[in-house]
Amino acid sequence: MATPDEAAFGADLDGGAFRAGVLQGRWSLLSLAWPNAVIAVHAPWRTGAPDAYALRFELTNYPSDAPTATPWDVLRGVLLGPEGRPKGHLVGFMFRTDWEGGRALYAPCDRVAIAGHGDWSQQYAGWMWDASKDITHYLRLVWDRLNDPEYTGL
Amino acid sequence: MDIIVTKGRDRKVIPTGGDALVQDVLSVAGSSGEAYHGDAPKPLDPMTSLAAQGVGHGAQILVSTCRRVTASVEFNGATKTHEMPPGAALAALLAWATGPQGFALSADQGPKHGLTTCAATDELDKADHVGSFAGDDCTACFKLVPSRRFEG
Repeated sequence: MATPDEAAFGADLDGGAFRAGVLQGRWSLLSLAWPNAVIAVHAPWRTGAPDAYALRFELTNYPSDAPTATPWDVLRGVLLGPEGRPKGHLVGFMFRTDWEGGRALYAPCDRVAIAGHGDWSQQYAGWMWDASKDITHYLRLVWDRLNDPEYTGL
Repeated sequence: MDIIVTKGRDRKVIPTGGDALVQDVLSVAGSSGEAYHGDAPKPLDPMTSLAAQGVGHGAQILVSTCRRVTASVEFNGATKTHEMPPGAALAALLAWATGPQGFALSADQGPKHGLTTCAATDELDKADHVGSFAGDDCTACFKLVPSRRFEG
């Protein structure tokens, strides 16, 4: 029997917002082994760059607690190294590797990032995670940043 | 095929066939109102099929009671308004707001901006329909803001 957090996440995967994103080609679920889910977020074409970047989410206590996502090398099953991460003014900083060893995204909807940035709740209130949010809040931010005109690929 | 049906901030993915009537899709979606697709100024004909009206797999339609939406955009203390079909994407409003009839941002600066609602601070999805933010009075209020890098 699914735990409440797993059930809540499953309901959000079945919800209109997540499914609409799949239909729009924005993201796709690659695997789910609770409390982890690997989701690919699709990126516009750039020479030599992949068409998607995988994030391995840790979702314990979802949605009360914010998710945290590790950029993921799906083939090797390990944290994605700097050479495989997207670059660009907005998205590159979010995928930075010089903070927390690159194990989480530098974003106000990520549990690890929130923990170290008390001021973000004021600065970036709209992007902060709260229990009313669902996984598409996080995914949409990543998708947005990948689709920023300053995303340069690898 | 699947299509995305939005009413207000609620979104559903509805599996259907191209020969389905618009009114059938709205019924399945549990939505009442008129259906709008893209920049079309008129609603879809409820008694005509989706395919005959150019609505295909992955299309987004908006259910709205507004035939036009008056969008106001605030930027640097000024406000400009623009009237649009409810099904128009925010990307179209953003292009207008950053363009010569809006706030005339430079070609370099325009793409570095986004829209928020006047009541919130998160940048809105450019694919969302303008009409999904409209109230009963068929107006919607937005702010033009620079896309920010999370720092600190």
